[in-house]
Amino acid sequence: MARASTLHRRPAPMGAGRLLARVALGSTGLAAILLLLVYPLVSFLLLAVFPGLFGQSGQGFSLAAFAQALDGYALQSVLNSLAIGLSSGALAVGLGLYVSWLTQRTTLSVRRLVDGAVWLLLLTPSYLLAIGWLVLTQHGGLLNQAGLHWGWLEAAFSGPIGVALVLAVKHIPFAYLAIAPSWNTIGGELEEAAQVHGIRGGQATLLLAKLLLPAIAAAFAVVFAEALSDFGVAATLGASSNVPLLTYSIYRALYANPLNFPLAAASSWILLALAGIAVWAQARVNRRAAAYAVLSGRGRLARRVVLGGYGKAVAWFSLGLLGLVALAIPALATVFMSFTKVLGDGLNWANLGLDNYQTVLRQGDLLGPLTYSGMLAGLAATTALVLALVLASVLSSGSRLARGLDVVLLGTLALPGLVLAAGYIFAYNQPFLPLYGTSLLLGMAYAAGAMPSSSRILLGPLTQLHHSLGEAARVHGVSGLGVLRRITLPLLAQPLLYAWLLAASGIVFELPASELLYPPGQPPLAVALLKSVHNFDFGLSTALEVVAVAIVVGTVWLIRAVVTRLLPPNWQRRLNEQHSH
Amino acid sequence: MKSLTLLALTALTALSSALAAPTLVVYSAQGYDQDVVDAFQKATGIETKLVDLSTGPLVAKVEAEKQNPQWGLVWFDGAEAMRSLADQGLLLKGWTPQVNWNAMGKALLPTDKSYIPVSATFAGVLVVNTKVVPADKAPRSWRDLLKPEYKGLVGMNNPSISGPTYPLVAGVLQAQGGEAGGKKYFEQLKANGLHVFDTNGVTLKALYSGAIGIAIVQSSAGIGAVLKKEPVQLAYPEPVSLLPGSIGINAKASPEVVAAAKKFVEFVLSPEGQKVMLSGDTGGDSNYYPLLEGLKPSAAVTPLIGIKYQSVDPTVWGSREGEINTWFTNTIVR
Repeated sequence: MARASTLHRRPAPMGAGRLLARVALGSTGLAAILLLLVYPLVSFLLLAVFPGLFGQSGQGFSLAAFAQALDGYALQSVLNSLAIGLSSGALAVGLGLYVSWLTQRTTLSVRRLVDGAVWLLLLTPSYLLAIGWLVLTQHGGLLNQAGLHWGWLEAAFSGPIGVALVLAVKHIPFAYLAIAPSWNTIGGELEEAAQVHGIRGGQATLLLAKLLLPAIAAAFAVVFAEALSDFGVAATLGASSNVPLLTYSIYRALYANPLNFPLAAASSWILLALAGIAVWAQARVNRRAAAYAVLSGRGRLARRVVLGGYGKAVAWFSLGLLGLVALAIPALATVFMSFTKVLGDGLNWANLGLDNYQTVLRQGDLLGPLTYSGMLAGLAATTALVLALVLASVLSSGSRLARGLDVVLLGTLALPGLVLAAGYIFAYNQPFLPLYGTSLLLGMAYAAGAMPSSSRILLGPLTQLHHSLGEAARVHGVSGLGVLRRITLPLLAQPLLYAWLLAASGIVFELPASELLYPPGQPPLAVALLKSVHNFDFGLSTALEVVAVAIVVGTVWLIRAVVTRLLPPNWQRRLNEQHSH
Repeated sequence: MKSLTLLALTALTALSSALAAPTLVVYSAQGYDQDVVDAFQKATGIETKLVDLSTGPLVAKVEAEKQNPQWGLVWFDGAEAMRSLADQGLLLKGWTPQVNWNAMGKALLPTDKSYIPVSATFAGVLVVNTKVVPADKAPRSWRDLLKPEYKGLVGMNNPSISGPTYPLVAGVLQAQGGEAGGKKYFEQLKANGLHVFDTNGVTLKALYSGAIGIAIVQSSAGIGAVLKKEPVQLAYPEPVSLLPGSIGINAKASPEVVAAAKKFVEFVLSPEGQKVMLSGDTGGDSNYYPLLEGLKPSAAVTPLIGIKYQSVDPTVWGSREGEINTWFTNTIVR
């Protein structure tokens, strides 16, 4: 009896402790969101209706900025962004579905290859993809110089199709990472059950589609939001082919003379509203999908489809084509340009050489900025990850707070970095918060920018880490710290590492916050890179980019290799793997 | 946790250095600015820190900081944006250094002395890709660009995106007898297949690749292309418009910072400062026309003899910038 009562009493302090931990966790997350995202963003967004805030020249309350944002060029950019966001979202999700089916449900052994390509694509800035394709397909570009005059390709890439295609390709990784784990949650029993009940062919596919729907919706929402917020493609391919996009019209309102903060803020509201559609649609799908909820955790492995010779050929061909479009062609075009001595002399052997790289090596003054950015990226990525972990654990709880948080995070994902950076000036150039112009504020902006996508990446692995695992362990007498050491960390180590690497490498090249917030006299890498190609020396600028990307990818690879070697074998778990494996 | 502590430490150091003696903070978009800042610091011992950005983000920063300006002086090309800052009361008025201005310099000095011109380039010259348009068939005047032989071959930047392009557009409008005549000229250019790209960078890329044969861009960019041995030559259609590079001093700065900023301007306009400016960015911004009597531009710069230029009055054209840019975007770009 006595033993039973102690057993009964035990959970009480545990519960209080856990409650305390949850409150602490929740309030840390909330404070971080408020300080890093909400306060600066709201500061900026308020300018849409109160144009006189922060010493600006407008007065009182006005909706004039919204009228401007829904007129002429700005309206055109809204419609273009919507159309291109939807089409690139659909395309990326379709391709992500196909590739994840190949890796998760067929016997094709491409898993490692695809995972590598996915990470490479995640690390590649979107403007590099766009510039690669531009160099190749524009009138007088590499194809023309090689004697190939494919008018259709040139036409496609100098219009909305090219923009949508590049954005779709760039965001396949997001779709892939969101969908791949779900193939495993639909375990083998389900298929068997379906077969027993005589569900076959089209009906079975339909059932499968319904089961996958939440993952598809999540993937679509993320790709849609990322495509909307993309600036790299908008500023290169979009701008040079007269396809104005919303992010670019925000950029124009902020950076062109006469600049117009209220218009930029109003356009940002519209961008948020568009992203809101995606969030709403995803939530709707999730509510409906609750009926199809399947609990995984100990599901059996589904049978893998054995591809025949013909099937294999189609699979390899399509993967090869995808790799060509997404990575090989843009990379080759960029590298080629970096070897070109005089652009106007075109394609011939005499015009190729290492001249640009020799110039890069002489740019000794890039070492300081590289070190500064590397240090700040490390600190900011670590901060972002700690906060992202907190946010992801709140998100995975499914509470009302979680749903609100989801909306805020997806919204910030949709806003271009420029808006957040400008918001930081208004919010923190205040006598009561004089942080503007310090490394701390730049680091905060970096962390804030990386936090939403990091928490989305960690959400998957964290959701799979069912809390029953921890409870079971504690019933078996494992202490709280032990759960962390023996269960949580081993299962999360790899996803955390990947999310950190992704955040840090993104921050090293981050431009808008770097430009608007860097401490005087202390330029970060992106600013220094821009400065050293001040004079439209495209060969030199691509050479610099190739070197910078090589350094970062090399560092990422090195850190990954070292950490993987140091981690105990049972901690090594790939990002999109199920623990039921 | 460790990272948070480190971050806090960084913050503390940053805060303490922010509270120390006033240093001169220079916001600049010039290619040679770091060299000038280094030389100034060495010559005067005044601690000077640089924020170097292109004109767009630079002006955005200045405007966003309006409530609590962090800069001592601001330095970029284009009188209209400078005029706009002056009209908002952000620039110190009524001071110019005692120097020996040449004719060009005198033409560019604002009457209210709210900013100081220190260099000049031309807002729009014709850069011709001789592989597309043979040198002997290159256009010489603004009217030439309307000829059928150049149909679809001419490109320029969008003034509402590229900073130095509005002075070019305003200059063409002024030279064509005012807004009405000038707008008609641009409509004729459009009818002749004018390409409008967003920025200098995109326009020049299109020129090098042969997508267009003639680019209307800032003279320093054109000279940069010649220096890079791209197959191009320059033409100066009559008249070209002056594009001054100017410095404005923060009206709200402390007396110490204002004094330091004045010293900076005097240094920039001294023989020593001009030497640094003329050599700091030889592929780009160093290719300017000095505004002081007796100083010559760098060897790469086309001598002024035979070039007819005009100055575009920012008090006339500055206030029309929004309206003209919107017209350009909606009528000429689309």
